[in-house]
Amino acid sequence: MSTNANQYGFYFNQARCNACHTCEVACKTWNKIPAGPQKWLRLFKWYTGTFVDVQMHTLFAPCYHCMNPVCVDAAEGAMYKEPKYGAVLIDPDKATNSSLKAAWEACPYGAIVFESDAPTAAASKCTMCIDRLEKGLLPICVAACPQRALDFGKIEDLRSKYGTNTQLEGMPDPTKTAPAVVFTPIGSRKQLVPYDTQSALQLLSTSPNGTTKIFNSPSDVTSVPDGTVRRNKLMMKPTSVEELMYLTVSDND
Amino acid sequence: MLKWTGALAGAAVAGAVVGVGADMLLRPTPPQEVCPTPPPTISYKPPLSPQVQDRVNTLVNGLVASHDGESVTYSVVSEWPPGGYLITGRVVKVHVKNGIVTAVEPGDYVNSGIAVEDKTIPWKAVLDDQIQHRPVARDLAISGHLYNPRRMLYPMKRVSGSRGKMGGRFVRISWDEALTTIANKMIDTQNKYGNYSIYNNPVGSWQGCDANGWASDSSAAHQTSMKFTFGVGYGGGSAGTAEVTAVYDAKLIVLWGWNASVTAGDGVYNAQTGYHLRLARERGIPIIAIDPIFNESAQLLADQWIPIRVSTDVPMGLAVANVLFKEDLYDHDFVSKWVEPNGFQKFKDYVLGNTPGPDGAIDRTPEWAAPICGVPADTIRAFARLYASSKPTYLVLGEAPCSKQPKGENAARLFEYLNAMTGNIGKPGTHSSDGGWPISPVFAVKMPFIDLGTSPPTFSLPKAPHNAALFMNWKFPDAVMLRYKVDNGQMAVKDYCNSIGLMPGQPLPNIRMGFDNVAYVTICNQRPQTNYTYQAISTLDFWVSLDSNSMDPGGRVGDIILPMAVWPENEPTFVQVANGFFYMPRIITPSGEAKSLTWLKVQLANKLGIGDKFSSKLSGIALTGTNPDSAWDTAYENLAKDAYNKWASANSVSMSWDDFRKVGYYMFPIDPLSHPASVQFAAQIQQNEPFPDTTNSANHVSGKIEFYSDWLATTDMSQTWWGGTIAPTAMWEPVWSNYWTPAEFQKYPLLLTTAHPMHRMHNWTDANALTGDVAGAGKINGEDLVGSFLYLSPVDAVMRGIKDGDRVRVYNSSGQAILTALVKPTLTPGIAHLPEGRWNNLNAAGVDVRGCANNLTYADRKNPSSSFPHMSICEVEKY
Repeated sequence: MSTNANQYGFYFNQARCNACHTCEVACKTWNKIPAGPQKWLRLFKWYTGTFVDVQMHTLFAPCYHCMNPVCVDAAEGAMYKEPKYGAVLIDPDKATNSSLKAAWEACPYGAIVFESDAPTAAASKCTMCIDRLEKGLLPICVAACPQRALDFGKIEDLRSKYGTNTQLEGMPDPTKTAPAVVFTPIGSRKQLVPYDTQSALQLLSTSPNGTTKIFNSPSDVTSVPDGTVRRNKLMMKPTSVEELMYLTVSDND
Repeated sequence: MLKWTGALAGAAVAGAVVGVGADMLLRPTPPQEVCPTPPPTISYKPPLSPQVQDRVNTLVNGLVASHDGESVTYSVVSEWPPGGYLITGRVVKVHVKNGIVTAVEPGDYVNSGIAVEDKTIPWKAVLDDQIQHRPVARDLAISGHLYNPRRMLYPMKRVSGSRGKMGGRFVRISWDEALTTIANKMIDTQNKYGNYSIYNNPVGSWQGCDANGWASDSSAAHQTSMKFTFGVGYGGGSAGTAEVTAVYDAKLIVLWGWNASVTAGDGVYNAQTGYHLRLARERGIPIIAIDPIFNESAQLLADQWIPIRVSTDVPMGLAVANVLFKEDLYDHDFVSKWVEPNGFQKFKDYVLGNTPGPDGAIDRTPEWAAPICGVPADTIRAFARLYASSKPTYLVLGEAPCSKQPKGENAARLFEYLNAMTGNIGKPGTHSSDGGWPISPVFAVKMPFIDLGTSPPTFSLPKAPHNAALFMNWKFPDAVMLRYKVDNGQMAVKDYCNSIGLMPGQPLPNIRMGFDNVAYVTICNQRPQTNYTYQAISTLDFWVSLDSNSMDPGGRVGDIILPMAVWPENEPTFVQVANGFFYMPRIITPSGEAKSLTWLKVQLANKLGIGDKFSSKLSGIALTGTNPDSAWDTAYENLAKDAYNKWASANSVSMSWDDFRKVGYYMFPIDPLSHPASVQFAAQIQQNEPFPDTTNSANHVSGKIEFYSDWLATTDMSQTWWGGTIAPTAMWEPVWSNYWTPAEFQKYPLLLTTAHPMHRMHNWTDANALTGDVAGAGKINGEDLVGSFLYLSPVDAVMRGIKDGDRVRVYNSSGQAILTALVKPTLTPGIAHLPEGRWNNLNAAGVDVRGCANNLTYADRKNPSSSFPHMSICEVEKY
């Protein structure tokens, strides 16, 4: 994959993210965005598997400032690929709801966020904190991450430090857009002591003294009907503001 | 008042280009005129045409200018009171423009410009805590709290409605009127009802009138267990509380009911602890999480998660002990040297079924424990072997799910025994298991002391087991309500004492008035069974709410509400962080007429005629209800300056006061301060000092670790503070609200767990729209907002016909709430999870639609150990 020598990007270590949303709140307060759905940085959290074999996934989703920004092509002149850092920017004076809707359609990551579902709704997106870059500072999300799960720099440097993964499980194919990002996925686990899921489920199916059924059979736990769990996959492009808010609110208060 | 979001919206409407937020919001553009000729082709990707490059430059310059004119001040977040959480305060840089907080950045006093510090700085620097103490989401969102339109900005008095009930009407009054009224009430109350009649009196030690509780909300069971096992108070021991960097010396780490990534240590969600544990895992130290919930720590920190049924840690722990005995895996050297032998034998007899517990004489094997705790016997056995063979093991028992329940001291004591049996106490890489509270490295930094000229108190409450008090902390409503029964001859004094946690023979509380610090813990929201607390308050003569929290449930039920300052508004103090200390200046003038707690105490003391006793240096400052209060600010700043100058000359520090004020912190050189991670009881285990007897109520006299307390076995506990029995050794005593009370359990078959939330400090800042974005409840007194969830496991949801997103009613005989179900496969079946601290928020029908967990807990359960009942039982139905 070729890169622009001046392309900067983000690094996200999924294995370190505990979904504390500090990055998201840091972004909103630094950039003075009102509370609500204009989340330049969306923090997604979802689960795969069933009890006991469960996996928690998170995704740091600002704009990945693609090296081939298909949004810019779609935005009818309302967006730019800025040359100094490779930031993708909206021109608020040129943008209309429809041009940014077109850009949103083109972007596989849903990086452009609208203040409402109204046909005239305002929209905006991550600026890579270009104002901070100009002052020699890290983007606010990266500076704020309490888990040190984020990094920022020239994409070439990030790749030599962290590898070339640009797609975590559940994410769109990066081939066409070439996002300026590097990911480390959640790692594997090692079982330290034997654990038999079936016998555990059998034990848990009744109250300890056996008097009350908690559930009927282990298969009731391991086969979950569709629609019971909504956060069972990554959905980066929710189709309404309400859905976006729902998917990006913490599920641990 | 300028509102934070309002200012933005105004700018956007006016179309003014004032900073990025407003500018970047897309505004609808008018219809374009038809252009007769096609526009020139423009390249939007590099290389840009000159016109486009100009436009980009303009945009970028606009963004850069968005923080123009802001001042930047270092501080340390302190949620309440000022100067709290001294050790691992979260360091911030606060931006201010025109007196308004405009942004908060992490403080980069070390490693400026470095994102992933562990990849960049030397490992020794990580061990020496030379890493930023980064803030968390709610710290960065403080403007949403400061400028919340609902924030209480003026003293108010209630003019309709009744005390202890929400829905009253309040009108603004002056500070002078408020404090005069309150002081007169305090004098009247003391004269009429005696010296134990004012609950939580801010100046009680000088007025000579107070009534307060003992035992911490959080750690009561561990406070108790530490006394009986080690003979010290909570966080005691020769080396103080264990430091988190001790984890790097471990061969195995066990997070037993401890969501360290979220709730570890100081401030609840001290990010350092989770970060260190993650680094430990990345360095290859095996970690096991044993928890009813597959939480963030189970994902990030653990190699393996072992789910366990709620409240059954004791059976599994006993089975581990059983394996250690049967397979002779315990550490004979350690035990013979440090464990009192008679008690050890008595515990062994109990575990092997030679002597009975309340449920009979039972061999506590893994096969016995498995059906109770839901962990297969083979797993328990293998865990015991791994634990015994991995030296050192860093095992921490969390408080919330394990010991914050009736009889919670059993779990707390048992895991201390297990750590002793495996020799994991007092050595590098161990933790004594005193409640999941390891802290950042502590350096012997000398701090300036701000001298207010406070005289020693002339009055104090009786010395209860954990602090001077008259009743167990969470027994406030019983202390009020049962006292009426005593007065009416319906209850014997001894029964009253036993019910509220008061040693017979001590003075009785006679509470007629009280103060509620409505900050991170208001007793109206954060104590079991909110209705009972309200009921108790309604019977009093007067109630004062100190509200820094935008009219939360505590603020709405008083006779007078006082507006309190928030950390950027408080007067200065000094706070230690790592090898330095920081200045917490008053960054902004408090909004409205909000005042600090110290100001309130001084001015209240003045009204009571005891101003000189409380603060000889500030009592002369006249009461100014408005802000800014320059006489006060100048006087206080001078006290801070005097403290600094005195300290600087005594310690040969050349940094001037002016420079210190400008920089905001002073860092001591790390080298002389650097030390290996300290662990509790290092002096005993490594230097052969005896275990002390530093408490006045446990009779811990052997000098060793005690597995059995003769004092508990032989004392008539009804004559003590505890009021009821505590088992002489850690035992399995099934608790009240559980599977063991079948009649209740049939009706309410789900266990309600109420762990710490991620984005609140208990009930602090639950109405902040900016954290509401990520944590729910952006506003209150409305219909449900996204985020007011009840968390359910898929199987429990399906059995009740519930899907993710459905409205549900959660209820028991104590109360109810209407919430949104969020179904996730991370909960052990049989649990409903409702994080504590959400504000009681009644809809028109009087039903809570936010989900205050304490609407569903019980206040009437007897609990000798003093530990708070943090869990309950419930049923859930589709609404």
